[in-house]
Amino acid sequence: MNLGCLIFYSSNMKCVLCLVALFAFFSNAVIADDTTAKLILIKEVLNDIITEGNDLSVQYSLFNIGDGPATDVELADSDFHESEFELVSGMTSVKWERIGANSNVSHVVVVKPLKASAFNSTSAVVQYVASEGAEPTFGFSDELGELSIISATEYKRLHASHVWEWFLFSVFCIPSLLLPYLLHFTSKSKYNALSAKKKH
Amino acid sequence: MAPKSNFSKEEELLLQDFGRGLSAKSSAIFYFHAFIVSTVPLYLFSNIQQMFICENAILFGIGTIVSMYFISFAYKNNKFELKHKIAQKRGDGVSAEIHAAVADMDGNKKVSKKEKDERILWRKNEVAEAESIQLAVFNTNATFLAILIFLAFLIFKNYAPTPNYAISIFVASGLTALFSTSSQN
Repeated sequence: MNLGCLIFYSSNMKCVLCLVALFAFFSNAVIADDTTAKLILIKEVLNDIITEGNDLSVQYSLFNIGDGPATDVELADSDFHESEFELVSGMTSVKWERIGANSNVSHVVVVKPLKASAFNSTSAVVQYVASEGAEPTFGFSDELGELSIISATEYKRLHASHVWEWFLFSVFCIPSLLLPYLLHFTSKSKYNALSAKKKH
Repeated sequence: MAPKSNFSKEEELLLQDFGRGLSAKSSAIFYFHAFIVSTVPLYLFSNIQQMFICENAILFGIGTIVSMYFISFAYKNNKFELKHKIAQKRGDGVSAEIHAAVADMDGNKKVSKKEKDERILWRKNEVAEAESIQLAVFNTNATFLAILIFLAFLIFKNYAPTPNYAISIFVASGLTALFSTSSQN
């Protein structure tokens, strides 16, 4: 009897498993037609040190991790006001017609800070259409937080090599160091020679 | 009426030769070198630490004057210590020089031993004076510049420029003067 029950339950289990497999297959088939894009925006500063008057490079990277292409992609960053930054190359508002699934694009903006101060960097915004006929989707990049822009004077003080300055300083030290020593050494050599001559 | 000196002429000459007092020429040399060595570091502070001379003129002026005072003090002490050592070492060489000079002189004029000894003593003092001045200047300047560069560009490198200069120049010149007061017997 136990064996009979076991056979009955195992055949039932097989039917249930087949039904589950069929359901999964058809549900995947349904989902495969509904592809959407999902964009991730990463904003990063390429400089180690941000200096007034020197180029600052900011890179925006868009990764489409969704199943479908993203269309009408618009990237905008309002961080770099004309009063504080001079645009050197690139654009702060960029458009791409299409970013395919599992692909990525990047864009670099080069600006020149006009003032030495602390600068609060906010997120860049990306707008795109995730699937055909859908409403535009908005996304935000990471926030870089407060960036320190040092003055040109401070940069020279801390990071310049100063090889030429040290060389010139050593030249200026000649009258204070080399000349007195040479005079002393000349006199010393002269009298040492006279003393040695006298002994012989 | 000014009181008369209690020393005889010979004693005054001895004091002048072997005392701590400086002649006008020696003082001029010392103050000149003290001025040069106190102003040379300003080039480093203005070009490396970016301290503009016009903006920091008062600080630089005070630092230079204080530094000149301490370094001149160090020159005098070092010169006094070195003169005796150098005089002892140059004895043989100077006497050889004087004997050669006397031998080259006119043969009719005989020079007494006492006069020779006086000439040797005088010449030894002159040579020791000159060499001790030069060596004292070299030693003091090297000590001062080494301490200043060590403090300003290694220890206090990341300090603000103004306190960096003030501390470095005062400590370097003060230590140089302090080291000059040590006597090696």
